[in-house]
Amino acid sequence: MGPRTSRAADADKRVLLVLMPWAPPVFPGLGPALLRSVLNRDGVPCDIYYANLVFSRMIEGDSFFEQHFGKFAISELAFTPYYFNSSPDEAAAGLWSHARGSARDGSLHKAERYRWLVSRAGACLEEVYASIPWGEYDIVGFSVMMQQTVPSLALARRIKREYPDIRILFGGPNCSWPMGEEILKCFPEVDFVVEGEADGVITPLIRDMRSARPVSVPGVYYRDGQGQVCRTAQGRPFGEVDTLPIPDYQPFFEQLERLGVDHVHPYLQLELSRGCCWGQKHHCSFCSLEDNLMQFRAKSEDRALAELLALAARHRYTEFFPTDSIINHRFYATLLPRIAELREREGYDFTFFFEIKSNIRREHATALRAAGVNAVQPGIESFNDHILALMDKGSTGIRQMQCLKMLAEHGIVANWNMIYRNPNELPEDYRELLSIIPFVRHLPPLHEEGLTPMLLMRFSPYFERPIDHGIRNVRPAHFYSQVFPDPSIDLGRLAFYFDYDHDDHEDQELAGYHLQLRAAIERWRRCYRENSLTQLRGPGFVTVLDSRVPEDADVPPDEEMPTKSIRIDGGRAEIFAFCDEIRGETEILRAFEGRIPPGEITGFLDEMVAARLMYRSPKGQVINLPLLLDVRERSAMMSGASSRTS
Amino acid sequence: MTTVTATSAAVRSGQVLFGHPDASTAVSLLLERLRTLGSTEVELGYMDIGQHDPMPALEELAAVRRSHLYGFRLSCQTNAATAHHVGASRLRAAGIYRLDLLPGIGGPARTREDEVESTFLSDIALVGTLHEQGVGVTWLLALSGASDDEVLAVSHLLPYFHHIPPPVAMPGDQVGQGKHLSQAVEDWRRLHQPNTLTYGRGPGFVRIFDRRAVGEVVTFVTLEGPQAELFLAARTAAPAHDLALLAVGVGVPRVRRFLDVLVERRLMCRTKSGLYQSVATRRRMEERWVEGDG
Repeated sequence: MGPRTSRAADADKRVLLVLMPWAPPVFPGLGPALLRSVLNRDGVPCDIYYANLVFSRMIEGDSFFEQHFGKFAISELAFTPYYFNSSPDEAAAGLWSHARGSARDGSLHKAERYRWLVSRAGACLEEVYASIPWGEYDIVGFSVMMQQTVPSLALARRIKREYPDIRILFGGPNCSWPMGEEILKCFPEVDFVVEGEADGVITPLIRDMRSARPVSVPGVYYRDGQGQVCRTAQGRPFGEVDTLPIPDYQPFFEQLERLGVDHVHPYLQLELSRGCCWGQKHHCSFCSLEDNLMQFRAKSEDRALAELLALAARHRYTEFFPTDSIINHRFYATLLPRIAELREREGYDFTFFFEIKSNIRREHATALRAAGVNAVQPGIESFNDHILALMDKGSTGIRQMQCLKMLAEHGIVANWNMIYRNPNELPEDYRELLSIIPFVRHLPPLHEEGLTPMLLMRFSPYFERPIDHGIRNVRPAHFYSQVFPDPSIDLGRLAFYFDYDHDDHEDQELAGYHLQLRAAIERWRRCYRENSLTQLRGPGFVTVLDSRVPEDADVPPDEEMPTKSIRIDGGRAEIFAFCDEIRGETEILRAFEGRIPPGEITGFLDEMVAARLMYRSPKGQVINLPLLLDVRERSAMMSGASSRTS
Repeated sequence: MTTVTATSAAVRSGQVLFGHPDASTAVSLLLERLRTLGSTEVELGYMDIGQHDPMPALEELAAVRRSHLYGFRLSCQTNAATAHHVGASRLRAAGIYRLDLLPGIGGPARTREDEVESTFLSDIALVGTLHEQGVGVTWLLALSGASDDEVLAVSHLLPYFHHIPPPVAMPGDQVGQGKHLSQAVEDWRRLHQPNTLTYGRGPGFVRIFDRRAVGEVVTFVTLEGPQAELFLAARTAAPAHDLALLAVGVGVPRVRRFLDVLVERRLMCRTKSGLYQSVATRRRMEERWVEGDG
């Protein structure tokens, strides 16, 4: 059968946006949903197809593949045979090998499972292709993030083979320069690539594509008459975020229901800002947010609230996942109290997962909790001041501890990470880090995949200025040659993750400390008990309740320890309470001057630090460690019954 | 630093807090007593609206607790009328984490034919609200003086509330329909699973999450517009014709049919005399679609 035409009734043609695997099926795809709303607002009919939901059903909601494996950059290798006509068995072997190598117990991974995964990828492409009435569309756009390039290419090739008149458009984070340009150079199925934020250009671009005139909107790669890849003027980030329409997730919920993907329990994405308010001043060394998109642009409180209410009412949902790289610090005093008021006044049960900067104090944690924020991603990454400085995090170890303490007190789950193998870290950094961990074992440890080596990613300062950090021999991560098995592709321009060399990699002492860190984190996970170090405050006294598992104790994970009650009275109780948040030793001495002799204060602090009821940083800052039980319980009260943080 | 045993002796301070005419002075006296004793665990005694309005003292206590981050472990006894008057959230804000409801719910003097059932519903709603607020509540199911028919009617309502804390004891004879009642209470204790039937509210809708089925399968029902309003209004027991006033133009028969559908799904209960009450408790902030998600 020859190529089919899609030009039968051009005036009625529509745009189709496709979200391919491995986009997480729990999210309705903010990017395409927003673009669809923009296009429909502008009178350009547009549909969305969630191929990631089809794939989710195909792999039967396998929680390992869906929640863990899909995050690996290599996961798109499952689709490689369907674009490059390479061997499915080789792809499966590559995936299996990677999974075994990164697992705690590699023997649990069976080769057969990965062969099945690759076959499911093929079946998914077949079903997606068969499900869509392609003749109704003249432009098909693919939203391409990290693990969606090959799946998108595979479907694009299939479309082009049967419908050569359909124009294929790629966009999304994986299309920033030079990746997008390389995609257009290497893959003839793709006709146009938009780099950066497309909200302001998508409508004129579609109109240009449908007209005979050349594409004129900025930030677009296209081929000229000679087939050379060209770019229009440099694109710019979209500035007027309040003018954006509210994304419409209706197609997602309709397809979810139609496909019967019952195991997917979605969260509504909510975009309150773009860019990063910290990153525009200090770009964290490992962070891959592109400089061009770093400029912080926040929606106004009125608009943010209106969007929240509109999405909740439209989709009858109360669980939100703000996509912001970092919460707008202003929101602590503005938006969050207004949401809390809605909770109080109207009884709305909104809950949120936010990414936050870790420089929070008690008042911030209280504001988060009162507004219904039940989980956050606060970064953290280390407790060592030098390593944090290498990362340019703008924080210190004791601040990170304060953040975890405040979140735990308020019953807010912290999904945090620790990064090791940072360029130019020192053995003494790890000696200090290992000595800190026993002080924080009553705080929730990092999540299962939270301990990672520093990954070199495109756009990060480490990548952009490798020499400054002693990074050399930067090259595409080893798996890219398997994912894109075509030697004509310049992987250096297409890759997002990179391997590299550094003098530290030869340092056996550092390597030993990395292993010790891993073991210490494992011990932390085993020893952690919720509420194992709390304090109850009364008039003139503090009672500390300590049921921490001793560091060297070999106890089963579910065994509770006996509770030791420690009473601190009078002036000592006042000092202890004064150190609820970080205090400098000089500040403490000054606060109690004339009432308590300095020697007595210092002696008390020493005693508390020795008992690991307080922590003293290398710079002489102090914080008490037990969770205020009262705050904990009041937080639970705001949410209903018993508290749970994990 | 003094190490003491984990359990401190409770201090009876009810007279100090609830027996004083001036709330500020009462709270100051209570604090002074606690300072002397060095205890945070306090038994406040009996709180009775019939003798003193406890509201000013509780509000003062809540303010002091909030500003000093005091971690009191307050407990007290009260009756349902007082607890209704004060409200669960105010009790919890004052630091009351344990409450004994005395003399037992379901046993007041009867003024209406359906008094036993309606009082039971009113008080189980109170227990549910206290549970939502994190107040541990102990209560008695006492139906002294109730007829066999009335006891049987209440027995039939109990299976709707297995997600709410069961009564701690059930005094009274075990003859006649009392046997049915004691069996129903026993089932309740055995099958009690907290937080398995909850509702979350958003603009114009209510979503009810039901985890009561064996195997922890989550099902949900979304109610919108007037249906959501009916569900929320029925948190207090009401007859269909009263509830129908909220659904203008719908008519009582249709409202009743809707309510009966919820009863069939055990999201609402219906008394013999035709009172409807929704049975789900408010969603906890920690709750996700599936426990362990997120």
